[in-house]
Amino acid sequence: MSDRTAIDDGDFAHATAPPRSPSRELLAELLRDKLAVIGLIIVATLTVLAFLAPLIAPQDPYDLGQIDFMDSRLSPGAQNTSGLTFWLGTDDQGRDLLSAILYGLRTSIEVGVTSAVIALVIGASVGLISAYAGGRTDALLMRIVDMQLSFPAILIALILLAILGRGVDKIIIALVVTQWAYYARTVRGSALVERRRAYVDAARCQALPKSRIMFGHILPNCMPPLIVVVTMRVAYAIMLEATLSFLGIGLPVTEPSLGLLIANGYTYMLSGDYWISVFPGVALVLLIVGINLVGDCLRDLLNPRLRR
Amino acid sequence: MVAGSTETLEVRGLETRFNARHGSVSAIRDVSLHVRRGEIVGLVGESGSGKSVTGLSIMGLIDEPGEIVGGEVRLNGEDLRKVGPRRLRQLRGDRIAMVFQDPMMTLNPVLRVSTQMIEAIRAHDPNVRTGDARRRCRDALAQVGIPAAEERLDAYPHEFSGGMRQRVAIAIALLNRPDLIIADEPTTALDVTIQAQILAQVQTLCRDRGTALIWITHDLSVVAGLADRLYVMYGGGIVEEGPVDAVLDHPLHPYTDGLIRSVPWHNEPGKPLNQIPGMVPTLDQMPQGCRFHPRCERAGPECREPIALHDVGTMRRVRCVHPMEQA
Repeated sequence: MSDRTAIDDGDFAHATAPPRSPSRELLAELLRDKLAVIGLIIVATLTVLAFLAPLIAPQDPYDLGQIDFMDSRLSPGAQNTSGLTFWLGTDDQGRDLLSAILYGLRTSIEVGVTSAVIALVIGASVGLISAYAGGRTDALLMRIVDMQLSFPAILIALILLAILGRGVDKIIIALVVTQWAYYARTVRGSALVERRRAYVDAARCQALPKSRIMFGHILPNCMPPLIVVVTMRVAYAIMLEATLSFLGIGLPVTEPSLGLLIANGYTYMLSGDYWISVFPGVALVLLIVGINLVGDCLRDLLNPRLRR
Repeated sequence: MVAGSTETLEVRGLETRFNARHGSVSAIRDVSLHVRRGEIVGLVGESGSGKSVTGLSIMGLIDEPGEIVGGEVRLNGEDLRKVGPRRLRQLRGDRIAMVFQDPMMTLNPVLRVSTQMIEAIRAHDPNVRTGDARRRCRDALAQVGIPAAEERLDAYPHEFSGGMRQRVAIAIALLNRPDLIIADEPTTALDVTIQAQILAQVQTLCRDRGTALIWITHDLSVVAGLADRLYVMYGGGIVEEGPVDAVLDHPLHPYTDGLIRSVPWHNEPGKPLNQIPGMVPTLDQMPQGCRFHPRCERAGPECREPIALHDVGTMRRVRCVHPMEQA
């Protein structure tokens, strides 16, 4: 800086560096952690593959015209009469497992992320309002959260899906209902601390609207624990969806997710056709492990006790 | 005092109570003060004397379990306690602004300075264009002595030092050219050289713009150099008021006298430091009559009777039966 003619109290050591936003700084630190990078690579690869599924999959597993029942339960690497190689084998209906896994991954990721985002929006709003309003509103909202959390998630999801029936939208509803309370409690905890800080008083002095103070000032400061909860919850939502599909009440058979593929295959496990269940299972495990690696690293990075 | 057109702020008989588990207590009682256009007024007292509560009460920022129970707060003749919440929102941050003690905490750590400043402008003028808003922010930063204001505008608060952050907080308070700024110990967390720079700048800005300023502090040396008039608070009430030089040179209230004698440099080396004996009483154990009398060496039985502020000479008032002799 050339124009240091004005008063300077000295602390301009890093003034020449362009200001970096907290999120970019976090990303830079994340990339320094080997495990997190591995996790990110796994998640990114699987996500890209899943969303390119219509382009790269050898077969459209949803198109019954492409599926030949004669190809059912072919082992990995086998070729059918028309020369198509099934690298990961086929399931009991003659579907190419590689294609089915790619499409299944896409469904799983879509369902997991969508439900997590919706649950986040609802939960964060409830938590913020609860912390900001305090008193009876807070007590009421938090008792609802307590009630929600005292039931096992799988039980609530089972009941809901039994009532609602099958379908992507229905399983998203079920996942949102079982997950929002976690976000609400996390956000309330941080927001209670944040709303006592002087910058909130300062914002009130500027007569900013309440919504702006809650969502513009308090919420960004609650992000560190929230980011961790979101990553972990996305993984949990994907697992829960797989579980529900495995139990046969999640997604319809025409849109196989990973859970459904595993369910389709497990009856053949003992007859030696391991691949029908194992390969979708491996894909699911990879995805969950990848997300959790990133989540663990984020948790360490954002833990105020370990740093700062 | 007669309410003239030059009074920016007039506070009369302000009382704020806090509802504790065992009954409610008055944090401040019968606080009356006034600030003229362009005048800098110091509000001094020990911790717990009610200085900050006075500032927050004027702003109307008392939260549960606190409650303003009496008195009036007139800003340019308009009673802030009677106007609705809408009008209060219009005035806050626009006509009346506040600077807080801890510069580390008054800026939101995750938002850029520009975001926070533009927001302060838009809160009162939603239609202002971003370019114009940025120009105003840059000018405000330059005015409080921040070099390279344009570059610093997009920095985050943690990229500023403590002194710079407090300058930013002051710049935000100045943004909408308020009529009154309440500064609650804004330089306490800073070292003395930076404090001096900021004091000088604030003084100039207030003089130039006619902004009235209430400077809340426990530091007599700060008000000595900065303020025009002084209010001394003790136990939630004002015990003495008057022009700064007169009060500091010839204090009338024994408490003011004790405060001044507690400042270390009045001592000769080797001699023990002067202290006021005893402690500030807690709010629920406030003594009857003069609240200072249990600690006062001039106190007599008549000090247990309630006593009001009364005029002594011109411009000066004191709440004491046995004021110090005037030279």
